Amino acid sequence: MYNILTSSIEIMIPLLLAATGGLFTEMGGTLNIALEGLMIMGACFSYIGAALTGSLRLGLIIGILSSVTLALLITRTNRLLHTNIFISALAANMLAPGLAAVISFRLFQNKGILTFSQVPSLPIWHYPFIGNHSPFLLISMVLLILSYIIIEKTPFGIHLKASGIDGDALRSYGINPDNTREISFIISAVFCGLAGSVLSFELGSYIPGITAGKGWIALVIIYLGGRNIFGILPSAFLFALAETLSNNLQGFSFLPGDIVNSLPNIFTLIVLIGVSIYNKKKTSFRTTKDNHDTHH
Amino acid sequence: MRIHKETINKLPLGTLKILAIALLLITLLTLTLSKEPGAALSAIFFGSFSNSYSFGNFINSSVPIILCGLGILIALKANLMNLGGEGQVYFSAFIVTMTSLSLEKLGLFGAIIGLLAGGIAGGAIAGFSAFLFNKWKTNVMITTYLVSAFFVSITDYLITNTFHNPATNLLSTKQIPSSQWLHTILAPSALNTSLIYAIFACFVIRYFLYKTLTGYEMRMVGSNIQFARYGGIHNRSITIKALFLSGFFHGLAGGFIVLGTYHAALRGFTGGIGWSGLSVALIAGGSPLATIPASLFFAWLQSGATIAMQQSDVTSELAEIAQGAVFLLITSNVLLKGRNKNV
Repeated sequence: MYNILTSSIEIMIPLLLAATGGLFTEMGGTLNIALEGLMIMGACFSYIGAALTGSLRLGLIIGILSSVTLALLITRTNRLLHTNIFISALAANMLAPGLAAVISFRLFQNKGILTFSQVPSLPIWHYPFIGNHSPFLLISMVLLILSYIIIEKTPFGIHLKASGIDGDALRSYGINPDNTREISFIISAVFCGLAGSVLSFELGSYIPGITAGKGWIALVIIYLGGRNIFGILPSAFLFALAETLSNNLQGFSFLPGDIVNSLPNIFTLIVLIGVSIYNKKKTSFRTTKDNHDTHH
Repeated sequence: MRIHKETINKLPLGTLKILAIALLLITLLTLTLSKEPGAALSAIFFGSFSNSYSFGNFINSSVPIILCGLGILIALKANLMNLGGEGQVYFSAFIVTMTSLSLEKLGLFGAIIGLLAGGIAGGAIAGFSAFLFNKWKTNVMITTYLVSAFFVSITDYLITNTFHNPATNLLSTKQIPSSQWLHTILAPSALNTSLIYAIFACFVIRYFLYKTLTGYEMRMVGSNIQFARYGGIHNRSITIKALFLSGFFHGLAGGFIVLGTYHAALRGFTGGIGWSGLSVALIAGGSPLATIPASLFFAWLQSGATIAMQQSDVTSELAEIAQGAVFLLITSNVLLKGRNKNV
């Protein structure tokens, strides 16, 4: 039982970080489909950075910067060249693995699994009641609270929420919702860069496909959490628990690896359907005209 | 999240500008990354034309991309995004192989039934997302992606375990008999008659979209949903039809890969095709016939990059980056409007 709890917490950290980041763009009214690609940037380049500098901290910074660079590429082309933000964000999911492969091949003549002995292993801290975990657990909790404060208690948060509900109204108030949305995109890139770094640092190597759909799962975590900062904590834990249980199934040989790998996807799909049934029921009970379609 | 009509309907000059930017990017990347940029660049740009083998394989690799592009294009016309092409192609390819094998005695006729079965399998996978959307408004993009990812794992399992052919070192199923193979056009390359069927499919889709009632309804729902409702068009059945057809064409793509090129289902052999289909549909700007040159462009980049990897010191992922750059820019109103003035 205790093992399941600790490994669930470990799996939860990157999911929670990515979902917290995604929540910012979600609040701004954009479905951030690029979470997956941004995480890949973080995972690959933080590891390469740590290998080249020999420092986890510098690696982390390089990982976050690379994720932010990709996000800036998306938002800048979107605003300067008037692209469809959704299609441009989708491009990130194609560019990130390509960049990871090309650059790691250039540096190490290897575009597959990267493992370097000079990358230090993560320090382990003791947390009361929940066992030993990396400092990322504390970081993700602090960032969660910080995000709550930013979204709920600062003018920026209010503008962000307003830009998600009615951008034109915000514009008439003298604030450009495009700026607010762009900042939210950058914030989500910082979170995803961090989430990606957690993945490769915890594993002690970078593997192509390391994110394994976690960016998509993070989107569903946001829905399940009711687009609420404290809703995403339990829902991220639920997904992590499900993944832990399916990983444990792999220990028993009656389920083959390929099937076990598909379980998180099935679980995510079922949860997504559940959430949409719930939302549909909720809106049909509403007497007022629902604003259901505004999110599309 | 509406992919507005203006963003899909565009004229070629602006598109050419974007393709030129992608080629410039690939050139610059090669110049910085390669120690022998001359050899690498000539392999990327001209490698596909160096002999009939490479040329045939390059043309042949455009066939499934054309069909996937058509599949995405149909969904886009109804303003739907199908992000599950990957799994639809892969699983259908498996279904086509298995159906053809079990109808071995019927020869080519068995292969045709197999192809249809593959199309229906792809259509059912995509149609499931349409069903979820109609019933509970579940986000189509996320469900198409998740369902597809699930089918990729399942197909991996089926190919490497249940239906694995122990007689080969490859992770593949049994081969279909040669009586079911499509005829080769340019031996020794893999180019085969599926090219003709893919081109034919473009004309069929053009006819369907612009000359039939269902095609008209689909375009109406895609361009103006309110107007379509006033006109009495059943939005829900259109969603089902559009996504089913989208999956059906992905299924055909998988089928042609099997019947024409590999003659069996191999683990991971359709990897990346979902992205190519999306890119092609966006470049084609909503025109079914334009999927042909758009597919040739990506097939040329991908086969060139693969040749460059064999002959030089760059990796084939360069093509992926160029494709990503196209994706990033393809909806740009600024780049695309420039050519509006010229017309």
